[in-house]
This record gives sequence, C-alpha cells and structure tokens, in this order.
Amino acid sequence: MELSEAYLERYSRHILLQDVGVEGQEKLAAAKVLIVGAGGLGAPVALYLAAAGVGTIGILDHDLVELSNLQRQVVHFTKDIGAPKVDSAREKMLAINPELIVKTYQDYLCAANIHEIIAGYDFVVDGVDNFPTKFLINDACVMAGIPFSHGGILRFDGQTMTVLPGQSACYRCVFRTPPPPDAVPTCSQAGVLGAIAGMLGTIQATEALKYITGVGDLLTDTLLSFNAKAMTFRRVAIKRQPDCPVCGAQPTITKLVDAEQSVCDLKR
Amino acid sequence: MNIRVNGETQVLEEGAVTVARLLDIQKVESPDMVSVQRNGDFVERANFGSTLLAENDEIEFLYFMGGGACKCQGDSLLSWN
Amino acid sequence: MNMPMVADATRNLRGVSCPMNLVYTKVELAKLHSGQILEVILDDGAPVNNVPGSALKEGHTIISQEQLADSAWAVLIRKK
Repeated sequence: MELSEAYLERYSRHILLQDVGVEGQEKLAAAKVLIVGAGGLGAPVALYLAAAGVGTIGILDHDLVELSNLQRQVVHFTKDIGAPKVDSAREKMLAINPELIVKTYQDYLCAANIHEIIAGYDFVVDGVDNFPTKFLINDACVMAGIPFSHGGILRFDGQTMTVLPGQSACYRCVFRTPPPPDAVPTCSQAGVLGAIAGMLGTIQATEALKYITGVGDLLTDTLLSFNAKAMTFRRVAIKRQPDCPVCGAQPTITKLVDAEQSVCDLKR
Repeated sequence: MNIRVNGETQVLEEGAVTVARLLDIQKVESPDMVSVQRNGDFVERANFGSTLLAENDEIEFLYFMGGGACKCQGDSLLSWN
Repeated sequence: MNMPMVADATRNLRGVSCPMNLVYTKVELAKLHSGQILEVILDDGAPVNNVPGSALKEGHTIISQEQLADSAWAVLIRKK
C-alpha cells in the first residue's frame, strides 16, 4: 500500500521511532480498541488513541456531559453540556483525526451485553467509575482472552495494571471481590484533582499503544500506584494466583452475573 | 519482629501479630477497602484474623480505587506517609 | 576498479528537510528486503549530516556517500 504524504507527515513522530516505524504505525491503523467510560480516564485515552491513529476506537458511556465533568474530562467542552458523552467524545476524536472509525455505545456494560460489545476488539481500556463494572470487565476480558488496562483514580492517587489473560495476574488475583457497597461512602465526599485523570489515563493509553505495536514491556504482574502530592510512584509485584476464581486453575466464576445493585439495575 | 509494609520496614513489638491486628496497628480505617498480599500471595479476607505474620514478611496493602468519574468512591484510604 | 553498486530503489529527497527526509527514507527501507540497497538523494548540510547517522543507528549499513554536481549527496544504504 502506498502511504499518502499526509499520512506520513501526520504520523512522522511515530515513524521516526525505531521501535514503531512504518510497520508499527500500520499496526495501529489496523487495531481496534474499546474505551469503557468517557469520563476522566476515558477522555485522555480517547484523545491520545485518536491522535495516534488507532484505526477503530469504540467508546462506551451511558451518561450525558455535566458541568461538574469539565474540571477533568478534557474531551468534553462547555458547549457539550447535556449531550451524550460518547457523541461529545466522538466529535473531538474525529476532529483530531477524521479518518478513524469511532463506534459509540451509549449504554451501561452488563453481564448481558458485555460479551457482544467487547468481541472483536484487540484491547480494552477500563475507565469506569464503579467496582461491579471493573470486575465485570476483568471477568469478561479474561474469559474472552482480550487484554485490558485497569485504571483507578481518587483524590491525588492513581493506580493501574495491564492484564494479559492467561499469562499475567488479573484484577481478581489482586482484588478478589468488589468491596461491600456499605464500605463505599457516597461520592459527594470524594474528589479528584483533575490532572490526575490525565496522568493515569495517558499511562493507560501508552499501554494500549505498546500492546498494539509490541514495543517495550507491559505493566503486567505489576500494580503501579502514584500519589501526586508527594509525586511518588510505586510498583508492587503481583503474582497470578492459582486459586483465582476467574483465571486460576479451577475457576469458580465461569459465567457472568451482574452484581447486586449494579449500575445497570440502579439506573434502568 | 521486623516486617515490611508497603515497602517500609516496620518493627512490631508484640509477639504474635495477625493480618487483622496489623490493619489495626497501621490504623487502616476501612479494612473492607484493602486487599492484602503476604509475600506475593493474596490473603483471603476471612483469614485476616488467623494469618500470623512472620519475621521478614513482605506485606502489601492494596487499595480499591475507582475510576473515571469518581461517582461511587469514598474518601481516600491511602496512607502514603 | 570496483563495479558501481546498483541500488534496488532510489528516492530523491532534494528539498525535503528534517525530519521528513528520514521518514521517507524509513518508508523506502520498509519496502525493501534485508540486504537490498536504497539510494537516497539528500541536500547538503543538515540532511546529509543527520539521515545517514540515523539509518546507521537503526542498524542499517551506509555503503557510500557521494556529493553530486548540484552539491546534493547520493547515499547508498543497505537494509539490515
């Protein structure tokens, strides 16, 4: 295939990288990545993956843009308040890179729909805000063999790990079950420094790009945490647990069920 | 007894210390929001009270952290002293 | 006397500045098989001072650099 001058110029800074080059850029163009959540984490992931030329990007979020989102969800602008987040994100992604395919899903992820939605994607980015869905993404991706990046942020802290199903520790190897709902205080008490979402989201986007191009070592079997107040980063080695209920030798979770009081139940 | 908690050396004066007691000593306010690893292995929550620590144990407290929009997440439980 | 090397492909990069001249060089190299030879014509100055070194760093071999009548350089690169 003859590459256009515009293509070569747009991606010149990737092509110049020895580890990426023309071949790596072609891999990005052929890749399909699903971003779950068009919020604080999904926003930078969406922008960077679009800019990087990931050919097909899916983005899923049920919500509409609210004024309180704009402090950190940099893919949404003031004019977008009231619009579906996925539409707002899609507009910006295509404004950066009109040649992408952006698929939008204005929906919640549930046991009933997750298999169908994630099928066909090469990599999934978890940028969701609730634990039942984080576990659902883990379980479904492990079952389907789709690599994914877990990400979480709170106040001045962030954590992330990359999971290669069947090869590296999964989220359940570290966090066996969602925390009890009564252990999680109401959201209004928590906050987050906006730029933390960018710090963590760009790490997740980098992992997606590394996975697609095969460059470097993924953040597997490692939980990376940071605290921005002290600006300390810490890597904790994680082992795949033989008794993990989903990726262990004898899995006890073999089909997906929605957790009690999942977001799906609450909002439907 | 010397152990390491989240990479920091801790000297425990008491003789027999369980994971549950360590959570108490470390003033972890919401143990439900913590996952514990002992020498690289996951410790079942049900075994916190019966798992005794040993000299030179490497303990990691790993905290649940929500994501994107921070809708359903409570106050930070992290102790990054 | 040595036979002059015959390039498998050639790309005129006169008037193409850094770093796009390297991008095009990499694109042409990507089309070749290992051991094949690419000739690129680079402007004098920064282009010829940078592109061959970058190709070398990526593991390719610089066979020759020859200045032409118009002061541009013909550079032969063997793909790694």
